[in-house]
Amino acid sequence: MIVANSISRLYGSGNAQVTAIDDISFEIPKGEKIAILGRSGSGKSTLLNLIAGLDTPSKGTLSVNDREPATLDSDGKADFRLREIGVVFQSFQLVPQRTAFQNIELPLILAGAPVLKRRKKVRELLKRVGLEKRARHKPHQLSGGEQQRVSIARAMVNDPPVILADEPTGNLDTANAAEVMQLMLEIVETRNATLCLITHDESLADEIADRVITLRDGKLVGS
Amino acid sequence: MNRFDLFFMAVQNLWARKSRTAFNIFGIVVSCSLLLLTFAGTRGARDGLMNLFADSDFSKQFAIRPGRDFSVEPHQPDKKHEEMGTGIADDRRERIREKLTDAWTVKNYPKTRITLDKLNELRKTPGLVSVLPNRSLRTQMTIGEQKFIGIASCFSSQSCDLPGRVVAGVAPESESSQGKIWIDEYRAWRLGFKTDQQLDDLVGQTVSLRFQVATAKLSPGIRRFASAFGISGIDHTEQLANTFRKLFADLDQTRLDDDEKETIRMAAEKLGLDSDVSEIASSDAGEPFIFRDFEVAGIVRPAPKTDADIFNRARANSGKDLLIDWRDYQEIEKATQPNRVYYYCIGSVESSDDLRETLTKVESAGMETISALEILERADEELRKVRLIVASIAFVILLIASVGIMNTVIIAVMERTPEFGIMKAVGATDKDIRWLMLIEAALTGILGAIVSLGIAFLIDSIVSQYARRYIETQIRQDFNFSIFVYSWVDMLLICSIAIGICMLASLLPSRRAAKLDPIIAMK
Repeated sequence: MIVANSISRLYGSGNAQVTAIDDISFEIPKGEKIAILGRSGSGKSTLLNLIAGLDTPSKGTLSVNDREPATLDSDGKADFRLREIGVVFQSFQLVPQRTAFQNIELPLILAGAPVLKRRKKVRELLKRVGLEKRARHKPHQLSGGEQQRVSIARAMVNDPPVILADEPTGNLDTANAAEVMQLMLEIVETRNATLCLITHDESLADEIADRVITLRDGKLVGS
Repeated sequence: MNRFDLFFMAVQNLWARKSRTAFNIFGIVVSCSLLLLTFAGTRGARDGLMNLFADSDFSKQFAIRPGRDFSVEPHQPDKKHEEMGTGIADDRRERIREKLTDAWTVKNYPKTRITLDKLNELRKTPGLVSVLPNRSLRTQMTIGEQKFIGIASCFSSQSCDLPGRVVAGVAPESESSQGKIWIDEYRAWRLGFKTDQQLDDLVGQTVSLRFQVATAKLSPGIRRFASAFGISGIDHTEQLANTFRKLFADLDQTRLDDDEKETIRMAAEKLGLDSDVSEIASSDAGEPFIFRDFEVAGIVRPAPKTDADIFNRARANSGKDLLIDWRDYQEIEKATQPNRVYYYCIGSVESSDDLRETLTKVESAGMETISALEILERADEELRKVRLIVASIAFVILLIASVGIMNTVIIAVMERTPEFGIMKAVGATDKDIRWLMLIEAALTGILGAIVSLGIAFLIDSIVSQYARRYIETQIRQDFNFSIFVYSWVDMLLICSIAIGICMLASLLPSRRAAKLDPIIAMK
C-alpha cells in the first residue's frame, strides 16, 4: 500500500524556487492499478521518483508498504528500491554493455540470489516476455519494443509488490506499445502487484487503470 | 551483493571494455616488466659473479700486504695533526684535519714488515692453509751440460694447483716434496727435453740450483730514512744507501766548509751508513752464491688461463720456470736474504666459506688484504646503484602510468555515469558500486602484473641468449648460469605494486561513482 500524506517537492530556493509537487495526498491499496495522468511538467515523474525512493519529499510523508524511504539511509534506500519497487522507464535504461539476460539478472545479483536460482528465474522471464532467443543480445542489438520488454522483465524479476512505469510505451510505435502494455498488465495481474502507470494518454489510462490520478502544476486535480 | 558476483561482474565489465583495459594495462606493463627485469638482471649478474668466483681458485686465495702496525708506540706522540689555526671554513678545516691525521699516521706508525718470521707467524692464523710470498728467486739451473737462468717460485702442497698440471712424474705431496723441483714443460722443451720419453727420463735426475747471496746489510737508520720518504722495498733502499755512500765518500772533494762537512758526516753516522760500509766488507766471507741440489720430481704445464680472469689479482704459481717446496724456499731465503721484506704474499684458506673470517683475522694482525671478495663487493655495490637508478626510472614510469590510469578511470566514471545510475536505481548500494570499481582496478593490476611477467620472461629468453654468448667470449669459458634470476619476493612485489597502483588510482573515482545521484546519473 502506498500512502502519500501532504507531500511537496520543491527545487531551488528564493525567487528561483520551483514547486514540482504541491501538497498532495493519496492512498493506493495493494493490487490496484493506478494511472497518473498529466501534461509535461505537471510533476508526474517527480511523483514517481518520490514513490521509488529516488527522490525525497521536501514536505509531508510518503510510505510504501509501511516503509518510508525518506527516513532511510543510502543503503536502506537501495534495499527499498531492490525489494519493494520495480521501475519501467520510458527510455528503457538498460546497461549497454550487458546482454538482455545480464540486464534482467542485475537486481537478482544485487539481492544476492544464488546463481542457479537466478538463471532459472531470468530464463522464465525471458520466455514470458518472448525474448528467450535474444538472451545474449546487447541492448543496441534489440528493437525498442524488445528493449522495453527487457526493462519490464528486469522490473519484475525480484517480484516487487509495486511496479512503477514511467510512460513505458512513450518510445514505441502503436503495435509495439499495445503489445508491451498488454504484457506488463498480464504480469502485474498474475503477481497481484500494485501498478502506478505514468502517462499523458487519457484513453490508455481509462482503459487499463482502476483509478486515475490527474496532476496539474504539481497539484492533484482529480482522483 | 556477494563478492563472487562483484568479481564476476567486474570481469564482464573489463571484457566489455577491452580497449580501455588494454590501455590501462600498457602503462603498468612497461614499468613493471622494466622493474622486474632490473631486479632479476642485477641479481643474475651478482649470482653469476658469485658462481664464477666460487668455481675459481680465487675463492680460496687472497693477497696479503703490509699494513700499519698500530700496536707500536708512535715515534713522535705529538698532537700537531690536531692543531688547526683559526679563520678556516669548517668543511675545509675537516678536510685538512683528515689529511694531517693521515700524514701523521703514516709518519708515526711504521708499516708492518712481512719477513719470513712474520710469514710463519701468519701461517698459524686459524683458517689459513698456507701463506706464500709472491716473490720468485732468480736461479741458475744446471742439468748435465745444460745451464739456464730462470725464475723459481714456491708452492705449498696444501694449497697448490699442481696435481692437475703434472704431465710427467708425480704430483707433490706434503711429506715428500722437500728437496724436489717441478719444471715447466716449456722450459724443459727449451732445454731439449722435447719428447714424452725425454720428459720421463728427466724425472728423477738431480739438478743443481745456484742462488745469489745478498751482500749488503742495511742499518735501521737508512731504512727509516727511506721509509720516511716513502721509499719501500729492500732493493730501492739499498740503491738509496749506495747513492749516499758514494756522496759521503766524495765529501772531501766538495767545496763545502768544515762545519757543513761535519754536519753531513754526523747525519751519515746517524743513518748508520758507516757501519753499512763495514758490513759489506765482512759479509758472507766473500762468497756470493749458494748451491742446492734438487731431484726433478715432475714436469708441469702452466695453470690454465680460462678461469675468470677478473679474479687474477690473487693468482700465483703460474708461468714460472721452476717450482720448489715452500720449506726449501724458506731455507734458501734464510741463506741468501735473511732480511728480506716482502711486498705482498698469497694466503690460502681451506674453504671459500672461511675466506671472510680469515681476512678479518689477518687484518687484525696488522696486514692489509686484497681478495676477490673486494671485487665482488664493489661489483655488488655498482649493481645496487644500477638497480636503484633503473628502479627509480621504473617508479617514475609507474607514477606517470598511475596518473594515466586515474585519468582514464575518471573518464570511465563519467562515461559510465548512466550505468551506475541505473544500477543504483535498481537497488545497488554505494558500497556495491565502490567495490565493483575497486575490483575492476585490482583485476586490471593483476592482468598488468601477469602480462608484465610474461613480457619480462619473453625479453629474458631473447636477451639471455645474446648476453650469454657475449659473456662467454669475454670470460673465455662456458657460462652456465642464468642471466636473469627471479625471486618470488620480487614477483610478489611487482604484483603488489601493479595492483596497488591501479587500486590507488581508482580510489577517488570509485568514491565519486558511488556518490552519484541516480536521477541525475540516468539523465
